[in-house]
This record gives sequence, C-alpha cells and structure tokens, in this order.
Amino acid sequence: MTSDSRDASAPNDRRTLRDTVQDLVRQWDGPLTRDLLRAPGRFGLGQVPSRLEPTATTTLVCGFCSTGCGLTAHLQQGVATNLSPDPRYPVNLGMACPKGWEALSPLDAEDRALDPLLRGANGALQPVTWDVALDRFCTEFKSIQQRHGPESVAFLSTGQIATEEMIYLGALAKIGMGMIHGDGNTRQCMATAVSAYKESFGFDAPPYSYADFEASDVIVLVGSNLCIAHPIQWERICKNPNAPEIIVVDPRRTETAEAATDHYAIEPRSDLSFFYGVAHILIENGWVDRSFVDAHTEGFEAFADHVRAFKPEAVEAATGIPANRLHALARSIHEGKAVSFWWTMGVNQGHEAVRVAQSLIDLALLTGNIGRPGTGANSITGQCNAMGSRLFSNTTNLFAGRDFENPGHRREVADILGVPAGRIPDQNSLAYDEIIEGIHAGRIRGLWVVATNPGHSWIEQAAFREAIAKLDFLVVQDLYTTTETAELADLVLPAAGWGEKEGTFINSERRFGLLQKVRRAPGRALADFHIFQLVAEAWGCRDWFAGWDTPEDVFQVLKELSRGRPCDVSGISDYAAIDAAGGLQWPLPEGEPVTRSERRLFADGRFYRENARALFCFAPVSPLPEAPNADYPFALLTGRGSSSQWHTETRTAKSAVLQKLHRRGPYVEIHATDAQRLGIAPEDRVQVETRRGSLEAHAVIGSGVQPGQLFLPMHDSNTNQLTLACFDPISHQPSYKHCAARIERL
Amino acid sequence: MTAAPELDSAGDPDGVPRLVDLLLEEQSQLTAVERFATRHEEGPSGVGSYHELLPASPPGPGQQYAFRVDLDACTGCKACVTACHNLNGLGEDETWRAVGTLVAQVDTGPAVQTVTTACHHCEDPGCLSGCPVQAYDKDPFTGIVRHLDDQCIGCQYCLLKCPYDVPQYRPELGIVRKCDMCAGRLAEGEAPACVQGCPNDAISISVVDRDLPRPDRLLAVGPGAMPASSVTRPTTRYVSRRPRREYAPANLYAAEPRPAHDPLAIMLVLVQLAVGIFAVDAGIGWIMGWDADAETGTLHAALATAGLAAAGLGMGASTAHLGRPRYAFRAFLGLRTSWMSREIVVLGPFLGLAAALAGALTLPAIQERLPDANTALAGVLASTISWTTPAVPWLSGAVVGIGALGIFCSAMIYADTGRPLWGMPRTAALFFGTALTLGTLAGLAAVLVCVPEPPTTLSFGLAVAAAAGLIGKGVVESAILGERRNPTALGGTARLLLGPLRVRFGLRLGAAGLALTATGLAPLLGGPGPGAALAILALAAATAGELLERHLFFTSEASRAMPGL
Repeated sequence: MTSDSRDASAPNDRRTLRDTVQDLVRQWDGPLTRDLLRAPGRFGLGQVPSRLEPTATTTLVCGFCSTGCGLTAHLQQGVATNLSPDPRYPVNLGMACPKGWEALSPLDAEDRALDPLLRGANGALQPVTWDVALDRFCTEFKSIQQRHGPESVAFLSTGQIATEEMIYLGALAKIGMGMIHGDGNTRQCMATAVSAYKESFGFDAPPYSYADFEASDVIVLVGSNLCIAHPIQWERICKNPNAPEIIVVDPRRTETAEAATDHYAIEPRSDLSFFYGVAHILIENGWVDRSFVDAHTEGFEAFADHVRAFKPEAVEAATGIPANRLHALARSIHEGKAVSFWWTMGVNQGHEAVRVAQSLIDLALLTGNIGRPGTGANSITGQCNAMGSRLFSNTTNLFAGRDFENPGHRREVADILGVPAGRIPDQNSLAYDEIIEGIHAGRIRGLWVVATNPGHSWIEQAAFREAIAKLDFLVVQDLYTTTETAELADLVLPAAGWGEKEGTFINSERRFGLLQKVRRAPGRALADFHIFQLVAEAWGCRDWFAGWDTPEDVFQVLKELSRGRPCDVSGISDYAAIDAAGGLQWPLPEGEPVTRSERRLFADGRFYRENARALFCFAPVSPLPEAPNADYPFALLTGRGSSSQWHTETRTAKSAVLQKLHRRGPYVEIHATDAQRLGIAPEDRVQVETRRGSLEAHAVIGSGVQPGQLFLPMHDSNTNQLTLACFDPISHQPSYKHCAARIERL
Repeated sequence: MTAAPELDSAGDPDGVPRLVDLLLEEQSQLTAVERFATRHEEGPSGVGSYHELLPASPPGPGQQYAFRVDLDACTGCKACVTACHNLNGLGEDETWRAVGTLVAQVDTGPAVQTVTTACHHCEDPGCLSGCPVQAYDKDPFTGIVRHLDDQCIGCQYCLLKCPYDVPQYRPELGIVRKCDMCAGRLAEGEAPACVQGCPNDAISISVVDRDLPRPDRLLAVGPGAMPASSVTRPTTRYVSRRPRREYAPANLYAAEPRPAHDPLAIMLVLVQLAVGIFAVDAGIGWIMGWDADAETGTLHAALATAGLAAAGLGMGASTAHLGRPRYAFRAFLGLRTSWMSREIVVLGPFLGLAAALAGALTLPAIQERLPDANTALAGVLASTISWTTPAVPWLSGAVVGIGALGIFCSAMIYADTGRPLWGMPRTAALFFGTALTLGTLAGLAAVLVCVPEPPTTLSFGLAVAAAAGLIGKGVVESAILGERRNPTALGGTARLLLGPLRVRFGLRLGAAGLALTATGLAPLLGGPGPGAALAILALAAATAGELLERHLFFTSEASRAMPGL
C-alpha cells in the first residue's frame, strides 16, 4: 500500500498544528491503517503484509490431498508466519486450494496434544511423561502378545505421514515387534486403484503426469468432483489449450458436472454396465486400436465376448442413459486423439469397484489411449501420501510393492535392511475390514492407530465402536486429543504435524515432494519418526534399525528398497535434489538424468506383468448390496462437502476461515420433486434413516442430486452411522457411496 | 504454544543424555532455513501469472477499475477467499471475499453455479454516503472505494447501508474493514490477491465506463441472485456464456438472525420515549397550563425529569455501540449525505434543550419545597424562575419539534438503506408509534401518581392513546407474518419471526398484551394507589415490549445480500 502514504511520510517534527487538527478530523493514516500495510515481499513473492514480511522462504509440499502442491512458507527467524503457493512448483504453478492456503492454522489449535495421555483409574485421560507412556505401551502390547500370540496386536496407519515414517513404522511393527497385521486408511480411499492396477498392469502404477490434463482433447472424469476435491488438478484442465471435451460421469450434478461439456447422470452404481456398454459400442463399430491391442495386451477376445451382452438398450435400462447418448460418448472416445480417463472415490468406494476401475483401464487399452501424452486410465489419489502408503508402508504388501509370501522378496528386503529373513512375516496382513473383524472375534486385542480417525471415518460406526470396545489396549497417535478415536484411546501419543517435521510425500502423479520443518511442535509432541524411534528403543529392538537416525537416513534405505522395482528412485541423490527439482517422479533409476520434465509410464507399451502385456479384466455385473425398496426408497450417496473440508475435519475444523467456506450444521440434499412429494420445505428439519441408524439434518433442496437420491457430506460424524459395511471383494475397500435410506420431515 | 519444550525429565544420572531428551531437543530445532531456504531473490511477482488479467492501461476520465468475474470459470474452489486472507494479512476469521452457490431447476435437471463475490466498488457507494465521519473515499482516478481505518468510529452504519453486506466490523479493533481491490498492488502493476489466487483465471480487473445507462451488470447471475444494482450501481461485471434467469441463492430459505445492535435498540426506544414524554407534557401544559397549581407543577417536573433521564440514558447507550466513541466528534462530517450524521447533529441540541426545559420545570417545584423563602438562594431561584417561566412553552415546543425531527432522522437512517423491512412508512410508524405509546403511558403513570383526582378526560384520553399505539404497533409488526411463504426479504423476516426468533417475538407480543391490559384497567382504578401501580406496570411492560420490538427490528431484517452457501 505504498501509493497512499500521504501523512506517513511527513516527519513528526515538521507537522504543523494544522496537520494535527486535520488529522484529528480526517485521519488518512495511523496504527489501524498500518495494520494492513503491504510491503514488497522479496523472494518473488509480490507484496505481502508488512507484519508478516519474511526474512527467508522455503517450499514444502502440502499435507492435505495427493495433488501435492508446493507451498512457500514465509519465514521469520525460521518460523513460518504465512504461506502462499509456489509459482515455480511444477504441480500447482502458483495456485493452491483453500486448505493449502490455510495449512498453518490447524497447527495453532487449542486442542493439540502436548503430552502423552494415559487413561487413569478414574477413566479420564491424564498427562504423563514419555517414559511412563512408552513403558505402558510396551508392557500392555507385550503382555497381549504373550497371552494371545504376536499377531494379536495390530496397527492402523495412514496416508498422512511421511514415507520415511511409514517405512519406520512398517519395519518396527513387523520386524521389530513381531506384528503380522497392519493396514492403512488408504484402504478407505485407494485400495481399489491398487488392486485394479496390479491385476491389469502388474504393478500399482498410476501411469500419468498432470501434464496429461493439458494434452488431452477428450477428458473423461468418472465419480470425480475434481473442481472441489482436487481444484488444482481442475486448474490443469483449465490450462489445456485444446478446448477439450470434458465428459463427467456422476449421478449428481456436481460443480464439475456443471463445468463439463457433457454430463452423464447415471443411476447410482450402474457404472459397470455403463462402461461395458461403451466398450460394446466401440467394439461393435470397430473403433478399436487393433495394433496396440495385439502388441501390448492380453485377454481382448474374452473381453469382447463379455461386453457383447451390454447392448445399448439394456444399458439404458440399467443406467438411465439413452442409447443415443451412450453412442455419442463412444464416438467422442473414438474420435479423440488423446483421450484420458480419470476416476476418484465415486469409483473406488463401491461394491464392485475394482471391476469398474478396470473397465476404464479396458477402455483405455481398447482404444490405445495409454502411454501417449494426454491419455491414460488414471486414478486420482486421495491423501497427500496415499501413494507412499501404497508402496512403502509394509502393511498389506512388502516394501516397494513386494509380496510377503514370496521368499525371494523377503530375502531381498532382509538383505537391504540387514535383518535375518526370518524376521519378516511370511504371510500377508489382514485388510482393514478383516482387522476390525478380528477385533470383533477376539483374535486382535491390541491396536495402534497412527494419524487416522476411524472413530469417524470407518463405515457403519455402530459395529466399529462395538469392536473397539472389545480391545484390551488402544493406542492413538495424533496431533489432537479431541478426535473421535483419541477420545476412545487408552493411551494417546502426541505427534508433531505437517510443517513440524521432515520427510517426503509421493503425490498422485508419483512425484516425491519434500516436507520441511517450519514450525516448532507444541509441548512434548514429537514427530512420528521420533515416536517410532522411542518405541523401538523401549521395545528393545532399535538395533535392527541402526543408522535410521533421521528421515533422510531412511530415505536412503527407501532408495535401496526401490532399486530394480518399477518404483525405482535410486537416481534421486537426496532431499536437496528433490528440493532443487521441485519434486521428482518415480521411476528415476540411478544413472538417469534428473530433469524437471513431467513423465508418464508405458510410453514403450511394456507393462509390468511377466509377459509385459496389460490384461483386460472384467466380471459380471453384481446386484446392489442394498437396493432401495418401498421402506427405504432412496439411494443414499455420500461424498465431499466442499473444498474447504478434509475428511473427518480434525484439521480443517481448526481454521476459522475454512469453517466459513462451507455450509454449517448437518444437512442432507434432496431433489425438489421428492421434497415436494414428502412435504419437505427448504431448511426443514428432517430425519434420514437407514437400517443401521438415523440422523437429523436440514433439508437442502435443489442442489445437484437427482430424484430418488439423497446426499450426505462425509465430514459429518453421524454420516457413517448410516452407511452399510459392504466391501469390494477384491480390494476390501468400503462401499461408502451407496445404501438404501428413507427421509421424513420432523 | 510454540515455546521451547521442557525436557521430559532431568536426564540420566550418568550424564548420558537419554534418547527422549535428544529427540525433544531436536524437535525444537528449526532446520528449513539452513537446509532448504529459497536462494532466489528474483522471480515472478506474487503467485501465478496474471498479466492477462489486468487492464492494459489505467482508467481514463469517466472510467474506473472493476472486478470482472467469468462465471463459467468459477467452480467453487474458494481459493480466492484464502488468497486474499493470507496475502492481505487479515484477522483470523476475516474474509473480504466470499463464494456462494446459486441453484436452479432447469429442463435438463438441477443446475449449480458458484459465484465469487467481494466489494463491488460501486459508482454510488452506500457505505460512503452513509458514513457519518467520511471514513470512505472513492478514488477519483481508480474508482476504488477505500475505507480509512483510522477515521472510522465503528458505528457500523455502513454494514446496513451496503446492500451486499460487504463491510465487516472487527470488534477487536473497534472498526470496520473491507476490500480495497489491493489498490497498492494495482498501483505497482501487481494483480489483487484474489486475481493472483484463482486457479481458473475467473477473476480479473477491467476498466469500465461510469455513468452509462446500461442493463444491470449483475444480471448474469440471475435477477434473483443479488440485490439489484439500481441502488448503489456496483461495478463488478459477471459474465457467462449461459446465464440463467432461474438462479436463486442456495441459502434463500436459510433463516439466520442478523446482529442485534442492542445499544442502538436501547437508544432508539429511550429517545423515542423521551420525545413522547415531552410531547405529552407539552399537551398537558397546553390543556392544564404550566403552573396552574402545585400538583400540575410536580407533574410537569416529574415528566420533564423522566424525559431528560430517558434521553440521556438513550444517548449514553448509543455510544456503547461505537467501536471508538472518543472520535464520535467527527460525526458532523457526513452531514451532507448521511442520515446518521443528521441524527447525531439533531439529537445533540435535543438533549441540551431537554435539559433546559427540565430545569425550568423543576425550579418551581424546588422553590415550593424550600424550607425558608428568605434566603439568598431563594432569591436567585425566584429571579431565575421569573425569566425561565415565560420561556417554558417555547422551550417545550422546541424540544418536541427537534425531538420529532430526531425521530424522523432515526427512521431515515434505516429507510435510506433500501432494505424492504425498513421502508419509510413502516419504520416511521414504528418509531413514532413508540413515542406515542410510551409517552402516553408515562404521562398516564405520572398523572395517576402525581394528581390525586385526575381529570377523567385526561387519564382516559392518555389510556386510549396508549392502547391505540399498542394495538396499532402490534398490527403493523404482525402483518409481516403474512409474507412467510414468499422468497423475499419480508418472507425471510416472517420465517425468522416464526423460526429462530419465535420465543422473542412471542415475548414481545406478550409484553404488549400485558401492557394493554394494565392500560385498560389503570384509569378505571384511578388516582395514586392501585391505578398508579397498574399504570407503572403498563409502562414497564410496554417499554420491555418496545425494546424487544427494536431488537427484532434488527435481528429479523432478512434482505438478501450476496449468495451464500
């Protein structure tokens, strides 16, 4: 605000009485005006608030979603006082969504865990020293393991901590502490994509780069409300110079559907029929890239046989989409020069989700839309480090996409880590839902929950809470003492958060980004990495992890674990190289030059299966687990409420600004004709009920839902009282997006 | 919160530091600067690349800067709100931009449009014309409407004057703040924060012509989406390839009470009570004379004192509404355009004249009660009375006249906002109705207390007038309920009164009912004793009712500003 400093520049001693009187009457400048003064920020920042003028800046990768934006921290004496998106970072090009801009606020929350908390005799959580906490941790878990076997203690991890921390936890739990079972909350968001890619491509390998958004001429978005779920990826679509055709397949009229060129509002969970119908038309018309299919795929003929039954008329009956529109979609895919297929939770969280994801992979293979700029069957990831969890958490697969049941894989890992191969479990972990089942059945009696909030997020809460009550000992490691899960814990370990520690995240497009320490953690909170070190020492197994002193030490271990695997990053020398390049995508084997260019997989048509061919995967369409009927006539859909909310809102609820950016209080969306029929007026109090439970909410009429549908935002802790515990049989991912419900006016 | 952590314990007796202590120490070290701090001093200015989003040249004569919003590109990410918040260093929960949602049912099904909004930097800004202290400045070259933070007294009238609810009061600072279109950035060729922060280039700055007859600039968002631009002539241009007339704000039916402004409610009711009392007193003086007998003198003294007390208390209360009352002296600056200034300028002399009148009417009563009529004090008193007494009728007329002008100014303050609930006939009816009701009830109580055998015509006349006031006001206030089904501002008021405010509205009507009953009974019982007690009860109940009415006047105002969520 340098333009209007009329009085500020006048030295005090030369001020006349007239100036003073004039100022008193009409004051152009003063302390209140200066409170909002802006000054040139240097470091390429443009103008910044003078109060917050940085003495240095540094760029770290955002800790909310997997877009992986680079955020510039404005530092004063090393402490971040403000944030802005980094214009040089190749992911976000100077943009961020509200969560990124507000990423520092949740660190200042009142309810940060400052000390370990132990549930005392009076039933309340009491602060204790780390010594007491660690002693109790080891005593309880060891005692459970002695009584019920080593596999009776399990862990639930996350896509929210650094990859190095995941490696430490995975090694500590399974090699050091003898656990067999551990899974991540990535089961809730990405397991379907993992299973689909593994079977179709031979490795969990999202093939794309964000540059593909800008290079497509046809973009098909399935079950993805990109505009509010991943706004910065939508930004990349907006930068596409080809005026692309944007096709959205989603039961709801979402923000993204509104911004698209075409929207297919299919019946909820009719997606598998829909895409098989599209494949049918493509094959029927000979719109198949035969040379690609012949050279690089396997199983095409069987697939063609399979989709023959999905005639447009039959598909119309199942999906509600007229045959001519289905035909138009097939034609667009056929005529597109670079067609990309993208999916998110609308696909992943379904009862036959893997097959739906694979139907999109099949379409890409069929039309040869893979490996070239602007193409691909591309799963858009959820959490900031879901990709790290998928490859390096050592939960349901061995490090770097290996298999616990493969003796050769176990030996490789044992050699890299310098531990006896016999310490590595020779069986795969139970999946998340099976761990909960195991708790129900009494086989699992101790649970360590790290940086996730299943007391809100896990499907069908009543059953989940019944299971948790059966545990002998529950440890929750989190930033906050007030998460639904921390409130159930016997022991809470106070963790440092994003911005208070170092490490790396891997984003949706396989890019390693750097986390940096720009804030001090409050109280006695420690980085998860430090907590794992302390547990290892207290447990008496720290010797297995000698030399794992800093996250960067473990990054060097990560490189060795990845060497020779599809996710090989042995060519990344260290953190400084990641920082200098603005993040680096895998694979980057040793010897390959480090460039900033964005890269995609499969340019050579060689996939990771043994025969290097991608596999057409398909299955019969299965019936809805809980179809609406006369008693429960609505399809209840759940999903993201707004761009300013993140999952269970443990962090986003702590920002006053983010809280202003979404509708407050519980609400349910219903179509106008349904509302009218049921006598529900806008804003009326209503009760939404399923066979599992009910909640009260205000009715929102006339937003994006179609007749016969209700929509609840997933951020409300009551939503999962209603959902149905049903899982994809292959990926074990919960089917959050559909169950039968009814609604009535209160 | 970020203080250096204490060590977990005193350390190992051997002097070898324990792991937990080492890690806590390490946790407290900040390493980003030496390890990774950005080395470049050079680089682009701000975030993103925005040069196409700024006009090629500054505004010429008859032109100004304006926000331009491409609705087709606005997809509801709300980054603009947070970019503005961070890059301008706003308060913790302060936001100068907002993003609302518009919804419609069209042939193809539901339609959704998100819309980013901020200050429209109007050609005829309501905030500026309403401000009593000239704390707003419309830059003659850029047209940017800037708020002068150090000039503001925190009266918050601009919050009511802006049809778009743009200015925001910051209680911790005692002032209002608002968007300045990042004037300092524009002056340096840098884009405003929101323009920099929009991932989809939906917001840009353009140069627009002023004073041209043209269709409503805000129309692209639909006629029902925002208040019409005829009032303040906003300059923001919303453009869309597919504008839909059917769009309505998603929060159209949301019922959220507005801020109460209770000090203002108290001020309005007490000042109107005072004017009513002085008017009734003038009537009694006109009918019964000013010094007919000792009882009449006492009655006048009592009424005038009560009137002065009410006026003083009311105006005292109003200062509690100011964020920075010590700068209230600036209020004359806005006299040319601001009804707030006018009200303040009128009510000041009103209070002074009321004090003079009260003094003049109290002196004879004091004189009567002096034990010894021959002291020097008595002489001074007698000579003072000898020249104040003839002035009393004139003073009384002046107090009532200026008081009535004050009430008119008060009503105009609200009428001038253009908010339908506060339209002039209704607001004037409420405000003068309060003066009538409370003035006559105070008169009735004073008559019954001070006059042992009051003239029947007087007490019944006062009671009838009070009852008419109570009933008339009740009818005016309840009539609004008929609007409850309409998607209008008045419909919103009705829904608030029947929804979140229903208890308060019920109490308000109950108080009026109680007052009405007591008013009917009081003159029947007559004279000091039960009659006077009932009249005092009626006055108390009616005053409580009027305070609630005025509280609801503010809280139930429901005109639509910009679309909400």
